[in-house]
Amino acid sequence: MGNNHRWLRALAQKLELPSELLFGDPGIELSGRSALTVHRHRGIAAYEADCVRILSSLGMLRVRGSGLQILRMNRESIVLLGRIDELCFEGETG
Amino acid sequence: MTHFLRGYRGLRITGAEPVRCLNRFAEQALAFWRVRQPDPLHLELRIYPKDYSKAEQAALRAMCTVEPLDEGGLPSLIRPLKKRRILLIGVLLSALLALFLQNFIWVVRIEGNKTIPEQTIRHALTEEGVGFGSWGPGISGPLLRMRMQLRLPTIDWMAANRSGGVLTVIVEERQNADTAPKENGPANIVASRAGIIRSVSTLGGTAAVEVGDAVLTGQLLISGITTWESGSQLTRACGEVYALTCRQITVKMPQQRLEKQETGRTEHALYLIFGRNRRKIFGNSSISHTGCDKIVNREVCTLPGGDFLPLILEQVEYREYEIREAPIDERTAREALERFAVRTVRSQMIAGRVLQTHFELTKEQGCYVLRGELSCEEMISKTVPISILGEDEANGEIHQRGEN
Repeated sequence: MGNNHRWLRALAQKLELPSELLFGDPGIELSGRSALTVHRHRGIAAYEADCVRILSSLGMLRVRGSGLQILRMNRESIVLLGRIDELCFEGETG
Repeated sequence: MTHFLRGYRGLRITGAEPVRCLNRFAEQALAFWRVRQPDPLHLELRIYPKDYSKAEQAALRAMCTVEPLDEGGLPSLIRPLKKRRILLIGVLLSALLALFLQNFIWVVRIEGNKTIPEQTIRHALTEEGVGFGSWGPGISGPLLRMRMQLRLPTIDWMAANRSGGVLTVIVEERQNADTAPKENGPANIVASRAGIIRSVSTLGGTAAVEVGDAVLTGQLLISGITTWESGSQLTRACGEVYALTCRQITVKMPQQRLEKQETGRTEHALYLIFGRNRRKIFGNSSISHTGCDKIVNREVCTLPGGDFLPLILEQVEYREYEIREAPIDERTAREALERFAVRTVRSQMIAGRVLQTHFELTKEQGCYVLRGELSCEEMISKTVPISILGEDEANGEIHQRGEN
């Protein structure tokens, strides 16, 4: 992420502007531990029953769990079902 | 639901990175769901059938191959019917008929009746135009209730609930309240017949007779007036008095009787009754039905649930007979007359039994005449109210009706 981008983010934060609209940040909704919805994704990098990697503007979102399954997917969102144990961003993709 | 209505097709994607295929699908706005990964080289998912060619091309760009799997949903169910047009038309017609025909009444169920026979209610409903084949939306519950109450006054309340082609008629019968006012004024008990007292049991009032006394009809048995030192008290006499009585009876019967004798000639007929229509299936009318016994056997068609259909198969057998005069022998006549005499006397008694009988049979003018005397032990108590006149009229006197 460049300096300009960082500066823009800081400005947007000061002005309380929604970063997901300005920068396309992903929206993540977790319903209990059984359903995860990721909006504004950039595709799937890996898909296994215990680990799903989802590309986003903030980096790769890793979802760990068991029995993970894609309920549906389109250009806007992905819905995952299964037991979700862990969510973390692995790195920045810019 | 949407997936079922639009139909779906299963796909197996094979490639080094089948996940890339999912991204391609998402980019091309191809809807997919139920994604499974049996192994790292394969993915199984479902798409809409119309997206199959797009999915195939997208998979090729992702270096994957696509293999169709199962198909499902409504279109795949209907597709085989397209070749069988008659069946399809039949199914559609059946569906339309099922929707249309449920507006008619096909089954009438009657609930809640206790004393009124179901057949009576059915008949009254039919008279009101409610029955098999009636137009359901035209049935007005309140109007039907009023008309049924006019036809069957013992109905207190009625409801007609229609559910599809089934009309459930719920009937509430009028309670038979004891409308006769209970008499509880002062009364005496007098003898309804002459006799010799056998037992007196007094529950109210003062006994005026004892066991062994001979009483006449109307004689006071238990008085409703109890006299004390300070005065008199009026009560309602209550009790039972049994007495030995003697009853006389005369019964007669003709010496000849008319009896049916079958000629042996029979006819059979078969009818089909559908609703109100009765159609003869076979049978002729060569036999005169006026001198015939008619034996009817009806088979009512029912649904598996037990509901009656208005389809009845009626078998009728006509047996011709002749009426002939036959003499009655004296012994048979005596036995029949004696039985009848005893039964008649018993029915005339309030309570009691016949102790002894003495009968004498004679023949008079072509008849057997039985004269009998029956000794009975029966209850002869009869309650008679005491009439009290006003003070001005009777100067305080108490008049007792029926007192000797």
